[in-house]
Amino acid sequence: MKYNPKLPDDSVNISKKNHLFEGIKLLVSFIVIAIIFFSLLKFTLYYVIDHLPYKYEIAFNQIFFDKKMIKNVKTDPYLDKVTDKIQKCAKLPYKITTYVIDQKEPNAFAVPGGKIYITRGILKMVKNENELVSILGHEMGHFKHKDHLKSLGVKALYYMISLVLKDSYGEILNPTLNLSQIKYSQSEELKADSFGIDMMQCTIKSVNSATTLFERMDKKFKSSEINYFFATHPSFKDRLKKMREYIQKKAYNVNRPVIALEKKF
Amino acid sequence: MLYNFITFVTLLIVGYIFGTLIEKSHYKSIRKREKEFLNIPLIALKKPIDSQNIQKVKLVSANVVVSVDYFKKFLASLINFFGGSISSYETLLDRARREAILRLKEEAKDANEIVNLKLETSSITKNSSEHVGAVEVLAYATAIYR
Repeated sequence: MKYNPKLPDDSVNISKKNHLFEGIKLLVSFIVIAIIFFSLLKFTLYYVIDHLPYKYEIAFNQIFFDKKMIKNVKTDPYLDKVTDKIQKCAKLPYKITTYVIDQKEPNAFAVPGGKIYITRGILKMVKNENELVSILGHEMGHFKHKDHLKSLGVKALYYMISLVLKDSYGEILNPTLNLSQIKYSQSEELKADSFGIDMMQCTIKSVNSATTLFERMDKKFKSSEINYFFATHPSFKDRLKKMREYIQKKAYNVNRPVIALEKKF
Repeated sequence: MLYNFITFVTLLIVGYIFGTLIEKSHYKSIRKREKEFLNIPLIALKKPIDSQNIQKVKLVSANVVVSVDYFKKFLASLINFFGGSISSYETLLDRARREAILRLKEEAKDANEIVNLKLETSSITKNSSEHVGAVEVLAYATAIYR
């Protein structure tokens, strides 16, 4: 036997793969799979929520009924009257109450527990009862379509997936299950707009002035610094277009004269 | 969220750049030293070929601890998800093994031959659960002086 000195052969133990390409390929496939998986889960979630029996919806809202979500709010008898009128058409399984927030920034939002909050700022901009019904009807649309449940469900989905992926990492993704931070998707807002129009037709038998409030707000906020409103709502262009199309499609009554407000805000 | 993501991507880039540089320079040094030590026979047979004329025998051992960079770790976790051979750790182990053998030869510089080479690998895990951050390779053999 003879010892034959030989340098080790590099190529046997190392696969000549370009790590960067491998990494990018795998990352992209992983992301695609994650998106598909997440979309399937989200679709299933929305389907379940849409077909949820009333008793679960009531139970969910029950938790928030007695809680004071926002302090320093008042009710207004005229608003209550309009809200009750719309409620008869909306056919929701729980009572809706409208509160006024003493703020000059125009805003309106719906919160679990059947509470609608509307600022003095937007009430000052409302010119007639039709516009008031359109705003309140829109907010009720969120309740009708269970948008809060959906957004909470999606957040819970994010949380669960992040738990699975992050494993035992110290910093678990902490989603904000903060209910006052309400930003719905475009489609949910547009559906609520359509519902508002339906409510107008059902309650006051007219969709006259369905879009005028938004048109005024659109003009006013074009040059204004107030983006407060846009933090919680999508842009007006799409919404106005869709609303007009919806009114045409449904052939609702646009000619009846507007109903005046019973009081000045 | 965005801050975390930026940190993560920065770590990946830094890991990739410096990891590749360090690896290349380590391999250069390994190949250079392997050429130098080429003449010392190192075999894994239990007994030397010629059992006569042995003056002295000595146990020699050497170890080395090598770690991967952040990019390789991340790539390994992705491959872990899909399955398959983790190519990013292959260079790590190859380097560790060859480095250990070279250090062994260094220790038995004036030996005539080194027999009964054995290698042992163990992983040194850092704080996080299953992440293999570093690998220790121990090489030991018997050096024969005639």
